[in-house]
Amino acid sequence: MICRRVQAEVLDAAQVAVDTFRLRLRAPEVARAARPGQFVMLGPLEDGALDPFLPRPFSIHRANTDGDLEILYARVGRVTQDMTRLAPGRRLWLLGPQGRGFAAPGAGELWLAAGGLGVAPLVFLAEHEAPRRKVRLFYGVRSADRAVPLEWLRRSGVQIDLATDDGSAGARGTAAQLLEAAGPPPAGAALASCGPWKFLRAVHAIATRWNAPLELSLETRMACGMGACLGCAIRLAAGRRRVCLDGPVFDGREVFG
Amino acid sequence: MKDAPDLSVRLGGLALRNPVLTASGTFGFGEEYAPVMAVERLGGICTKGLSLQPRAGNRGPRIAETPAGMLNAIGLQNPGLERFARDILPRMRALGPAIVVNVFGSTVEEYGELAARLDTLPGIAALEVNISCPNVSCGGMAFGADARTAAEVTRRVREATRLPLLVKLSPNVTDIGAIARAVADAGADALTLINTLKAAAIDPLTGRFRLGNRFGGLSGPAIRPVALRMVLEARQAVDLPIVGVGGIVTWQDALEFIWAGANAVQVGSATFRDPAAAVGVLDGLERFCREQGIARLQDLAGKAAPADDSSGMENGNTP
Ligand SMILES: Cc1cc2nc3c(=O)[nH]c(=O)nc-3n(C[C@H](O)[C@H](O)[C@H](O)COP(=O)(O)OP(=O)(O)OC[C@H]3O[C@@H](n4cnc5c(N)ncnc54)[C@H](O)[C@@H]3O)c2cc1C
Ligand SMILES: Cc1cc2nc3c(=O)[nH]c(=O)nc-3n(C[C@H](O)[C@H](O)[C@H](O)COP(=O)(O)O)c2cc1C
Ligand code: FES
Repeated sequence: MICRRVQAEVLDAAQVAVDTFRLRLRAPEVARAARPGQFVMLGPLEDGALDPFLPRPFSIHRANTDGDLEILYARVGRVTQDMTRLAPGRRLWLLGPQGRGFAAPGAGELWLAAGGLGVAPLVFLAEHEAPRRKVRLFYGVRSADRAVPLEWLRRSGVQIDLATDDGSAGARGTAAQLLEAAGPPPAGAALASCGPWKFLRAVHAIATRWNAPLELSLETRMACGMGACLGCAIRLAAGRRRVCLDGPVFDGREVFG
Repeated sequence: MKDAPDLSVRLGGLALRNPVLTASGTFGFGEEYAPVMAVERLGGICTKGLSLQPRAGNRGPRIAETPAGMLNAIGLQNPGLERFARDILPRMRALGPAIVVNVFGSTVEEYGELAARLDTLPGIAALEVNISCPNVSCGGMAFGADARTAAEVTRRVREATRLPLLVKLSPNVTDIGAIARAVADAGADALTLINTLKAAAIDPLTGRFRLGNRFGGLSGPAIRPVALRMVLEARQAVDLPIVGVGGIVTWQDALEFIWAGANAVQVGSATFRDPAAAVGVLDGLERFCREQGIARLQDLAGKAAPADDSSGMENGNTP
């Protein structure tokens, strides 16, 4: 595995939806090695500052061979609040790409179910797989103003179905309900999902009924992101796993049995 | 000064080419960080705490960030002796730095048996006896909280192995000097201090504990002044070499411990925010010695001088 710690340069910072931001970084070594489902540890934002103390994990949202890398993030706390003030030209520490990404087995259709910010790694996977197979993205958010605009992804051939909890755009409900209503998928299809734990459980139940392979991207709190501290270890159906190194992407059966 | 400064140090039977180690539990088994930093430059690597049998550790969440530091309640998850000996140690030997195996047991007998079995394995430079983990109900801190049991564990391990012994003390005690003396008399080569401070954190909005274990160990810069005080107290109590650990991020932090009486230092949580932190500490110590014309870093150990009443600006310690 090629993991590096580099100084990335902020190329672009933008708000893309309510409390949702996108950061485009120049980090050639990391971007070129990145595979869908992998993540980076970002920070510390200030070199000398001891507080906040730990770096933060973020999925790789997009990466290209030019050496650019994108992160899509929600403003939920201290570091993500500070990140919204990053301007082009700023340099910041990046450790990655790290972790086991999506395998997306087979050549049949690929169906993706995203709950909220769970869309971040799935967009990378969709963009990566779209040239060689049919990709569908079922994307659920709380309300229309929280939906990240993905017209560009639609134009590259990915079929996107939107759901909102309040019905303000697309279907009313969750992405799991959308997924279920659209299925079952053709034989040979593979599934992948990222989102809150309850949502992943619902998607797993659907995939099990369809007898389709499912990969899940998980989140836990992390300190090192390198497999060294065991802070991210979580008990899955298959046993104790480090989310940072054994994951963050796991087979659905490994997670829920 | 033309010659490179001498950074080497002897901790009883353990000779190190430089005094910078990585702290137990923050550096896995050494190989995890190898892709992103110069592991081979370290003076030594302390492994994750090892027990005879594998341990699954605590439920999550296992970590929480706190002001200038963090809490952890890993629960001493480890692969157990057998897998360590078979799979991990051979790979560790290829890394270069001295291998210090951090050990713990739930009974005095277990400590002894583990030490005896490690004694037969090639490539181990020393054992670090953990009698100070705040995160498990059996073993750990229970042994380190009391001078008599601390001495008992030390004596048993001493009888079981010829390897140099660092004994890692708990800060969660009222009289660190008494425990330091008891452990010294029982045959320790050196003392490591401190382990984490028992602590807790609660989410103010939900009222939930931030850690699955409720309590955890506080580490990072937040504990550095406490760690320094304990090194000073232990230095007064005993003549043994001391390994200082607790909140070290920079080479200046490490020097503070050396002045206080530490002969070597360990870098722990700081590695999480910068994998090269320990190497940065080493580079800084070397540069400091070179620039100040200090031939042997050890000459500074324990030489902290009284505060200068007349000036808050000058460092009266610089030779
Ligand atoms: C592998 C992985 C990939 C991730 N990818 C993304 C991503 O692409 N986009 C994104 O916005 N976020 C992502 N996260 C979550 C992100 O790391 C946290 O939101 C971030 O660390 C919060 O930092 P903060 O300082 O702003 O919040 P803090 O002030 O630290 O915490 C604010 C709140 O967020 C919660 N929180 C903190 N860390 C996490 C975490 N790791 N998971 C869930 N909740 C957490 C805290 O309990 C608290 O309630 C990912 C996490 C992991 C482990
Ligand atoms: C995640 C984590 C795991 C730890 N595991 C161990 C352990 O297994 N054995 C041990 O003796 N100390 C363990 N420690 C304590 C450290 O070795 C060190 O004594 C402490 O963290 C203080 O140093 P620091 O502030 O530089 O981190 C652990 C600390 C952390 C943060
Ligand atoms: S975050 Fe440290 S082992 Fe996964």
